[in-house]
Amino acid sequence: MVDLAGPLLDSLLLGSLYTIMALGLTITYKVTKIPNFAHAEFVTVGSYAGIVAVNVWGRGLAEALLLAVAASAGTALLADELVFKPLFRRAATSLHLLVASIGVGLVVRYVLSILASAAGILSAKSDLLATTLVSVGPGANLTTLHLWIPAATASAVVALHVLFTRTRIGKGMRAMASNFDLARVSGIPTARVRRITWILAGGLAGVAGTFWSVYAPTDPEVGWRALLWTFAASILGGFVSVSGTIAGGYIVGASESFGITILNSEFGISASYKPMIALVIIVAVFLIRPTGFAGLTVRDVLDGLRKFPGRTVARVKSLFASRG
Amino acid sequence: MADLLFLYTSIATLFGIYAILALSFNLEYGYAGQPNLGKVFFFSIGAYVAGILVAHGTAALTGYTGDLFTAQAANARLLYAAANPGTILSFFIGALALAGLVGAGFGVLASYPALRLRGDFLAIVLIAVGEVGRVFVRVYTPLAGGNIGIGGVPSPFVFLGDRGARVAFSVLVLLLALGTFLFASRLSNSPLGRLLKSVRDDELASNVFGKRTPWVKAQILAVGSGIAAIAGVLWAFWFQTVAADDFIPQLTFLVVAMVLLGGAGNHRGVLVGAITMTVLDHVTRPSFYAILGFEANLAFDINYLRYILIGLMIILILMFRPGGLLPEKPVRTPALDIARALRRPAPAADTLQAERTQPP
Amino acid sequence: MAGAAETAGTGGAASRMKILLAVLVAIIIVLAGALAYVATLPRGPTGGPVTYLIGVEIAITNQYATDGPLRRDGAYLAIDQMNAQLLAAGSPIQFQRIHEDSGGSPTGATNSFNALLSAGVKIVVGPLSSGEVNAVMPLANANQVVAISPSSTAPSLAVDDYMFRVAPNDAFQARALAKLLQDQAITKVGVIARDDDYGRGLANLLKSTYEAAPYSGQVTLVMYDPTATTHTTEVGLLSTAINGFGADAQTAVLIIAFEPDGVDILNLARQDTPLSSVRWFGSETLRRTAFFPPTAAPEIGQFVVQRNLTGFFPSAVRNPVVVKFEADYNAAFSRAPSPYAYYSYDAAMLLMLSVLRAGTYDGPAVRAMLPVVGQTYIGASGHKIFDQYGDYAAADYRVWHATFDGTNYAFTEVGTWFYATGNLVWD
Repeated sequence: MVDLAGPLLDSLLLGSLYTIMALGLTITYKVTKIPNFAHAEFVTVGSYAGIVAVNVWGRGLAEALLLAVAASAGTALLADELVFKPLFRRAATSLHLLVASIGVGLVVRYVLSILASAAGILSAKSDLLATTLVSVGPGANLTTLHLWIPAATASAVVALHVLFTRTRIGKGMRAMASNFDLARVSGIPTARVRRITWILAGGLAGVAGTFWSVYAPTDPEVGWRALLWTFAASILGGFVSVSGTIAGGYIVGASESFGITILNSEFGISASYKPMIALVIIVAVFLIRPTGFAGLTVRDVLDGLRKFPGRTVARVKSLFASRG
Repeated sequence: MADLLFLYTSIATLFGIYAILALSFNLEYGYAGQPNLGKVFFFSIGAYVAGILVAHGTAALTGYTGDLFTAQAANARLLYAAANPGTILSFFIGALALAGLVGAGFGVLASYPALRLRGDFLAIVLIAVGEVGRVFVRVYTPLAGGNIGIGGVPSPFVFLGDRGARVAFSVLVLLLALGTFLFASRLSNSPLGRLLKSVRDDELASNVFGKRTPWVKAQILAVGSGIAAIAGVLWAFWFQTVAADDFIPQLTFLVVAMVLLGGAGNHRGVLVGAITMTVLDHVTRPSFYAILGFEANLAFDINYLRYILIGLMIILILMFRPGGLLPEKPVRTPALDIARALRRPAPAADTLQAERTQPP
Repeated sequence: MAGAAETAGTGGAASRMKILLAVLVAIIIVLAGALAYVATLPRGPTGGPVTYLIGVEIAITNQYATDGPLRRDGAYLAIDQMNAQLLAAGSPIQFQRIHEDSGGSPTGATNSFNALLSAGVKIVVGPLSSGEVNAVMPLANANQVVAISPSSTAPSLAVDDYMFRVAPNDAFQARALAKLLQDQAITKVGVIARDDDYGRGLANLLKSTYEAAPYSGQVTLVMYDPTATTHTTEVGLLSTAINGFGADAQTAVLIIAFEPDGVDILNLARQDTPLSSVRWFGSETLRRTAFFPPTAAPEIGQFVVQRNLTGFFPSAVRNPVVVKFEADYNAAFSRAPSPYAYYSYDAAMLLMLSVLRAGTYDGPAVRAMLPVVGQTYIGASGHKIFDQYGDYAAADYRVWHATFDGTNYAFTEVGTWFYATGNLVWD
């Protein structure tokens, strides 16, 4: 029997990291309708800021977080002011914005590469390290990171919840998300809300980046490599809701850890197939439910299971059926 | 001594291949509103078809039974090609045809998610499909040599010598790109093309007019993916190698950038986008500076600067030409001419009359 | 074409577009012509310095984002040293480097190689991976350009061609490692390896060697995607495997990794009980100071020393050439070279020496001269005798292990594996 304590702890950690990265992505997508590929670079900026604060300046986690939040939020705000906002004014489509964000990502990533190679930290690992608190079994270690990162994610989620439900700015964001024009004519200061949205998304990326630098080594492409999983988490949640994103983040984290552990130990399948698992899950989820996990209830799940696969077949038939 | 043959053939061939890919993307996105961000997947199918066909084909003809993916096997293929140019040419033509069919088949399959998903979701799902395919081929080595890939895919014009084969291949790719352009233009100006635009602009309306939009989408994805797979075959024969690590999502994004920079919905614009990006890719290379006589020794690596420049160019073109370098034009139909003659700007009427001219 | 409607509607735009297209085509033709003219201009005053181009096709992005620049700098160091010496000697010859980033992918390598060909390059350092080497090999052969890959090690690429390789074939190291494991009374090995051509090649060779007679050991492979951002699950699998082996004195881990993934795996293993209780062995790529403070955190350095990380490195590491190379590299780039930087240094040196020895900048001549130069060359990565395939013929391997003397971390050499006899001899 496979020991699943290890994957459980891994998915807690990875899920929290993916969630906190995906939250920023979801928020900017919701409010500004940008599938923001440059979010990866905001994370990398945060990661490097964490490295600089800890390794170069010898500060602690709190200062690292502060610096990272400032750096990432600044980068995000700058990207919006210089690129996304002008494009938005020209009524660019979301594909245009996607390509523009890839352009922004290229610029930020390679500016970072130049800076990092000049500073000699092209590859760096934060001097802050996790220490094992309890070892449950082989490969299953409860470390300090397992406390910090989920705590950070939880506080981010709570803060977002309060923001969206209790504050004017948060309500403004929600209003902009559902109908921009209506929001504007209702007197919501859209420009300010937009700026705050980017600061928020960048800040979340900064937090994720700092923890990433504590968790794993940093290089200029670290965010870019993690981007697909971030998108996976965000999109599994339907790209709209905070709760959906949380579900998405932990599903991506868990599917990777559990999936490859089980496949490898039980069926001898190479761990190099790991990147496939989360992606296969995305494809499968969307084939079954075109809106992802957004608004999914337990009842829907049971209903879907009962009617599978008969309903899917019927749907395909109806799609291709000739109309009168 | 600089040898510009390599520069020009490389620009011409890559432009041709990217143009074909971008045209296929434009058919799907610019005309039918389906952002197929899994383009690289359909493209890679063509490349794998070519690589696997050549590898297994030459092995069967020569009675070779060893590992197909070693350098020795690749060398043997190149030698075989030099001795039997006709066979390789027929492999090439066979691969083009086969890849077109296989690609079209996968395109029809992709229409299933395309029917059910909203644009951005479809985009991510198709990126995911492409990555699943890439990782699988990469790790499962018996299929196509894994990350080392299939080497020694010979040039179909090997009988013209190395330089001759290069030139001939570039010319062929340019001709195929021209053919794709003409095909795409005809298709877009055909009743199907107008139907596609109507699906893109208002799916419900075209549904109401009795159009089977799912079938239309399946058709266009089949055509687009078939074309992409043909471009994949050209890629395999140009690079003489097929390896999983090449088919990363960035390739799709490059093609998307070409379409948007040129002008989505306008095939000529797409060609402009493709040539812009291809030339940009070549002239920002340090080798190009060397040709010009500059010794580019900066304090930092000039290749980083190259990527920054490319990113900046993408942003700037999008900002200052939001409709692309050549924006979309209205489709010219007799109905449009009549409408214009009557000086009645009525887009709804356009669509209506365009639909009515379609043969039953 | 023309019609009443044309003028009423988009006629103006359409004809503007045609003009625009025509102008564009004209610009392209003029630029191409001007380029052809510029390219054929004679460079510099006649009788002045002779400049030979040397291509450096080393990926510095994607999976080589952190390791690539270190290898590139190895080649740069060789070129700068050679130029300085040529200048000092009053020679008119200088080498001009052109660095192309291939991105680590086979077609990226072909594109870069085409670009180098268009610049008229006849000698190339690179590309790095076996996949890239496989892709550019036909180009190098057809255009008679001599390329030396500093780090391609896959045995499947050995053919007679213009593509030389200075890093020893994985088969040697697999044999050496098997011998070392047997010598240390290890019977059960958990291997964690990058799933690229380097890691996969070495891991599979070791497995086949060590599971066969006379070793008859047990080997479990845990392969990971080289672009993976985290290795938690893989380290968990390794830990489970090691635990299953008993995590005793007969059990060991072999790690085959580059820098960032290596740091990540060592850091995660440090937190794990079974992995912290067995002996660790490493591939040649693990012998890098990045795993020691101040680059890495002290805890990682301590782990490496406590687990007595042991491995091989081809050639006599302590020869004066190596010491000088390391010092020069440190002085020039203020960091320590990575293992393959030694090879890119040697690749560049060999190419330039062959050009000088041949007396002409010509592919076939350089190719003919390269094995001759290799016979007498001892570089940062040892001697360079090539076999009939243009691959590094044979290598003796030095055994190193990680040590800490209270102030300094170091890789101390303790023995030699002789490829001729297959024997391991301790110092």
